[in-house]
Amino acid sequence: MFRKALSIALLAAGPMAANAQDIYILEYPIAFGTGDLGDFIDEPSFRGFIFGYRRMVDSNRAIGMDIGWSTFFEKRDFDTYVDGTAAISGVQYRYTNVFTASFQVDHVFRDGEDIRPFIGIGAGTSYARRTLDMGLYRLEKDPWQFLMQPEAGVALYMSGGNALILSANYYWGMKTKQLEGQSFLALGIAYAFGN
Amino acid sequence: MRMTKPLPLLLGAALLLAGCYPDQPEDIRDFDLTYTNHSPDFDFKAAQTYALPDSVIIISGSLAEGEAPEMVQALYGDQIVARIRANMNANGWTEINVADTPDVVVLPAAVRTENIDVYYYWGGYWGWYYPWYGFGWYYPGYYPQYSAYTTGSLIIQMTVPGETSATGNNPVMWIAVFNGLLEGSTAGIADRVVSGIDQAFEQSPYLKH
Repeated sequence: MFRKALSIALLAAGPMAANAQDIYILEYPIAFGTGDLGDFIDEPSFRGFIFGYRRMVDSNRAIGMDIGWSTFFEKRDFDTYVDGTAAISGVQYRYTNVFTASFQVDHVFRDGEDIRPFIGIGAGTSYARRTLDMGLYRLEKDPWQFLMQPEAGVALYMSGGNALILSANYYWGMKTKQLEGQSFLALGIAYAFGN
Repeated sequence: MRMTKPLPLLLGAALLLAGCYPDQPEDIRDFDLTYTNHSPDFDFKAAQTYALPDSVIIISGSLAEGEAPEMVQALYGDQIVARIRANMNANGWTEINVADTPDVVVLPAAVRTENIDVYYYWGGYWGWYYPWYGFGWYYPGYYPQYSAYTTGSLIIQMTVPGETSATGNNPVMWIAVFNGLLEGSTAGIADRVVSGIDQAFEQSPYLKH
C-alpha cells in the first residue's frame, strides 16, 4: 500500500516544471486524538512540532514531505481497570508520543493571489510510543504504523515570498498487531519560507 | 535567492521536544496502587466464615528454623486488621476462631525487603501461625502478575484451610496488594491504609454475600 501511495504521489507530481520553488515550513500543531488514541487520552495535545518541505512543480502542484511530533498526555485521577480476574486501581499517567513522516502531494488553488487555499494527501509512517504509568509500573507499546495524511488549509502570502499557513491535517494510523491505529486531527499554524 | 533563518522557531521546537513526558507523579499518593486478583473457580458465596490474625506479619527475608517473625507495629497493624475485619463483616462474612475451622483464613503481611518474591518466601512465615499449613502457596486458575513487591507494600491473601496440594502448598483464592502503602508520614499512612483496604474490597464485588 505504501508503494502504491508513493507511485500515485509521483505521478500526480508530473514532470518537474522549470520554475520549481522550494518551500520550508515550520508548523505548530494543536492535535486531537481520535479513535483508540482519543479513547486512551481525552485531552488535546499542545506539545508538538512539524517540519515540512514542498517543491512547487508547477503553479498549482507541490510535492514534499512532513516530519512531525506530537505529545498527548492525560492524568487520570483515580480509576479501576479490570483485566480478566485482576483489577488494579490507582492514579494513571498516560502519554502517547507520535512521530510521523510522510510524503505529501498538494494542489494549490488561485495562482498568483495572496490567499491560496490548498488540499493534499500523503502517505508514510508513524511511530507511536504509548506509555501508561501507574504506581511504579510502566506499560509501554510502541508500534510503527502505516500512515495516511490528508490535509487542507490556506496560505496567506506575505512580503518576500514568505507565508503564513493555517491548516488541518488528519494523521490516519493503520492498525497493527500491537495496537489499534493511532490517529489524530491536527490544527496547525505555520510559517513558510523559501526561495 | 533569499533564505530566512527563523532561529526563534527552532529554539521553540527544541523546548517542546523536552516535553515528551510532562507532569510526572510528585506526591507519594500518586504511586499508590491497589491490585486484586482471585480464583475464578472458587465459590466465594458458599464460603461464609473467616478467621483473621490479630497482627500483621513483616516479610523481610528467610527465617531460621524456630525464629519468630517480626510484626508491624500496633499503630498500623491494629488499623490494618480492623479495616479488613470491618470490610469482611460488611460483605456478609462471619468471623470465627481459627480453631473452629473457618471456610477461609485472611492473612495480612507487610513487605520490608524490596522486590521480595512472594512465591518463594511466604510459605515459611506462616508455618508458625497455622502449623498445619504447608510450605508455600499456589493460585488456582489465575496468576498474580504483581509477584514482586516494593518496600512498604501490604499484601492480603485469602486461603482455604485443608485444601493443601500434594506438594504441600496452600491455595490463595483472593489476593490484594497495596504497593508502597506503608511508606510516608504517619498520618498519611493511616489515611491510605483505610482507603486502600476499602478500595480492595470495592473492586472485588464477588466477595460480597
